[in-house]
Amino acid sequence: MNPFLILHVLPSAGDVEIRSAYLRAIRQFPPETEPERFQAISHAYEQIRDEKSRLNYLLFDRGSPGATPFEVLLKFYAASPPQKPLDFEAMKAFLRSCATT
Amino acid sequence: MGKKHHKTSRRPGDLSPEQLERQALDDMAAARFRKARDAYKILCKQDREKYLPGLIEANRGLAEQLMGSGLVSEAEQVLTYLKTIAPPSSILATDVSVALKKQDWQKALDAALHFAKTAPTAHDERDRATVADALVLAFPNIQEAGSLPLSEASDLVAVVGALRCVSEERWEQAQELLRPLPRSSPFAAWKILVKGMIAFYTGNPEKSEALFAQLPPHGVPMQAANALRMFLGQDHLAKFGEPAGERAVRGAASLLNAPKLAPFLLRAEQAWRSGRHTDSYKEMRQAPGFPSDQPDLAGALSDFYFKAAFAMHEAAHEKYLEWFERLADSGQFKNDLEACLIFRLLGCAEFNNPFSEQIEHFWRMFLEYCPTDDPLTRKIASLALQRVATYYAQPEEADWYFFRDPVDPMRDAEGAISLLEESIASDPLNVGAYLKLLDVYESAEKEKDRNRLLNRMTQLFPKDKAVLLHAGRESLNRKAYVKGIEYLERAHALDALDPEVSETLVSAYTRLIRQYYEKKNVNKGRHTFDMVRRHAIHDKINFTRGLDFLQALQGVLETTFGDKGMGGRLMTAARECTRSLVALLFFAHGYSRLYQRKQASLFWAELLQQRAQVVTAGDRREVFDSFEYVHSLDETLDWSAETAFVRECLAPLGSTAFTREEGSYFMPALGKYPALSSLAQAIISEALRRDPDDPRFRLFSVLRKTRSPLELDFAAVDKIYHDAIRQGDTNTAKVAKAAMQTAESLAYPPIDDEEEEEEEDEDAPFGIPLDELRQMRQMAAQMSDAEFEAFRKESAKEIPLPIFDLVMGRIMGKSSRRSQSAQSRRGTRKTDQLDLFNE
Repeated sequence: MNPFLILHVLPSAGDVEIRSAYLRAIRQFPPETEPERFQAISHAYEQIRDEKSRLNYLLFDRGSPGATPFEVLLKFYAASPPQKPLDFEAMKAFLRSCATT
Repeated sequence: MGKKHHKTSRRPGDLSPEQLERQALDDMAAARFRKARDAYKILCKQDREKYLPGLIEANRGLAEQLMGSGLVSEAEQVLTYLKTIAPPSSILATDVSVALKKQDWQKALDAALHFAKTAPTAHDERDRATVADALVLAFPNIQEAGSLPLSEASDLVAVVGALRCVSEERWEQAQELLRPLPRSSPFAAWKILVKGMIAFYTGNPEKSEALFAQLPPHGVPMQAANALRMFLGQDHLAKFGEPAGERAVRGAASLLNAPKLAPFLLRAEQAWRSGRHTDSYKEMRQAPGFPSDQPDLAGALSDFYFKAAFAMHEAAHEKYLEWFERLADSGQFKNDLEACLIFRLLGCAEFNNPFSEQIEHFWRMFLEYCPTDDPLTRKIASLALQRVATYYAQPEEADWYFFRDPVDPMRDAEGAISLLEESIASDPLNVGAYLKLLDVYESAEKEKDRNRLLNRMTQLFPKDKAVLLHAGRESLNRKAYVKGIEYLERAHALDALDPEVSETLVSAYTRLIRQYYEKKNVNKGRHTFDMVRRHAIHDKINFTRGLDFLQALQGVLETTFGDKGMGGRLMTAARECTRSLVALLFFAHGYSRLYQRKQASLFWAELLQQRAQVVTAGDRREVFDSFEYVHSLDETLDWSAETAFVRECLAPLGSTAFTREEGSYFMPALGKYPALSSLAQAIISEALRRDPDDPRFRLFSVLRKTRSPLELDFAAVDKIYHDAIRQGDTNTAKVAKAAMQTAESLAYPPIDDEEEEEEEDEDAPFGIPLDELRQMRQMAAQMSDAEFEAFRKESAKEIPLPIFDLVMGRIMGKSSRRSQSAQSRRGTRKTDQLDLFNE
């Protein structure tokens, strides 16, 4: 999965911002309790920790993030679960969309 | 053959009442309301009292379905009919439901209030739930909700308040608000949903799942729960079934703040799963915000579509890329980002094509579409050009030790140099481009350019380890040892743990030391030895950095040029701390021979005595490694006695125990020394005697007989490859595949038009007219393995099989039966990823 998604940073983020995001993520998912998550976070950080790695990732990475579009959606959620519930207006829109479908 | 009629496709009038009822129920369950209505109409004629509720339900479902599809007038016709048959409460509930489908929340609220006032005692659960949904989805504010003319107004206030609390992460307050709601409340399902949402967002998926499982099957809470359940386990989607699954995915996309992607995603998924990969992309391409380079769902999906090709099986990979190539040719991109991503995809794919003519074009087009205002664009350009230059600097075929034919060191040296210069101009601080250019100059034997560049690099990058290492090595090559040591000490200061730097540094010191001793400057030599000792290691056999070997070297140098007594003491100290006496003696003997030029050194006799101690394959490996090191000191010396010694030490390998790994270690190494080459054959024979099916040694055996890639026994290697795969011997499989790819690449070099025309003028080769031969090959390329075998057998009636096989050349294996054009265009896919889409 895209390392920028895993660390919740924009592709334009700098080294310091990425390092902060990495430290925040490993505090949230320590290796003792979330070994797989921790590994994914560490790998993501290695992939984009400095500018050269980031550019190499953006230019030449070939790792497919899933086998089908749905799988990508589910992996996207697993890698980057919403930190917060939807805000009230988005929640209203979501629930209303459930009535029309 | 007569037409087959499915049982359920019979006309309703032909069915018995029981069959018709069963069909009506099936149709209702599958949301085929029109068919269900027709069935219930017939059934009502037989028993109106029994089947009228079914007819009403079918009509309600149909009205809602038509409304949901935007067919308002048709829905209104159904509603008009419904009013003639249904009780008022049911009609009112339908009004609510229709308003909900029309997304008219105020009308739904009004209809719900009307229902509550007119039919307060209605008992239909579904009607009550629909009304509750309408009341909640109107999201009245607390005052409004509290003042509504409803007996359950307080329940509505609690639900809406709890939903607001959830969105603001006030979990306990939400629970408090919901606590008074009784199970009998029409809002009970909403209470369960909110509690499930709290469990979901607070990281308790089991509780969340348990709560969602309690929800009634109809209504908004269930739909919302299904969307959340998508994230609770990958198998939920399969459980939902078709329409519910679609609704769940729409909801899931909404939860990820990407509701507009949902309809495209559904169609894209269906197309992808049925193998229509480009159709899937076409669907997704229509979605607003796609493609994206942001870290959101659209970005993840873009990543997928532009990288999935590298995990596809070969035919799908080719087809997918060809479609994008056509799109690129047409220039009809959705936007610049799409163009960028397409050219990136095509450019990356070309790295695997040994004969690419488009690689530079694709990457230049990629750069053309990159945003010009991005400060990183120049760096991106520099890296992309450097990567293409690296491709140009590679040899066309795999560098593979068994093939002894000379190969061109680079595809296009001048192209590589030109691109690297452009890369450096784009980003003058891209050290990687300088280092690559250095390598290219070296391979192209442009010494002056290389030295000039290296000087420039040491000024530009005085603190770059790789540059300092290069500069150090270059100085050593020029025998400027002091200067080299200065560079290498600086590199060592930057990274004291890098073994490559330490090894090169010690090597530089020992060369300087030898120079001092050789010039009888013994004191300087001793002083420098004291300096080098701090880089020595003790824990393994290392001819350069091992303390024992350094002491032995100084011992030999002292014995030859300085104090013989000191030399003896140093040798004694070396013996005491060595991990391999045989290796140490061989080492000391080698240096003694270098300086004394006598066949029998002080150590030779002892070394010969030690031969009996060489017992295990590991001991033999040490002897061989020592020999290789000593031999490299001066290849012009006559090392025949030492070679004979090694041969005797290694000879039992052909008959005594050795592991596959040990055998494999010696195979390529022995090939370098003609006097030891026959030992390689002995090892192969012994290994195959023990296990005739061992793919690794079968491969060694085939390759030893192969003088050039063009002579490769393709069928034998292909069989070995498949055997190795079956046995899980991935290393052997890799070598076999590399061998086949190399042979294949050389067998089918890219054909330019002129050559092709010349070929057409040739007479019939093998006695078969050329056009017939070409047709045969084209047909074969389209065939499955079974068809090809049948074709081969059939052809045997007219052509001798060996000739047939020769005509088909190396298209005997499936992978090689592609068209030449496709092969030369794309080359063979090499991927380190699993084949995700292989059926």
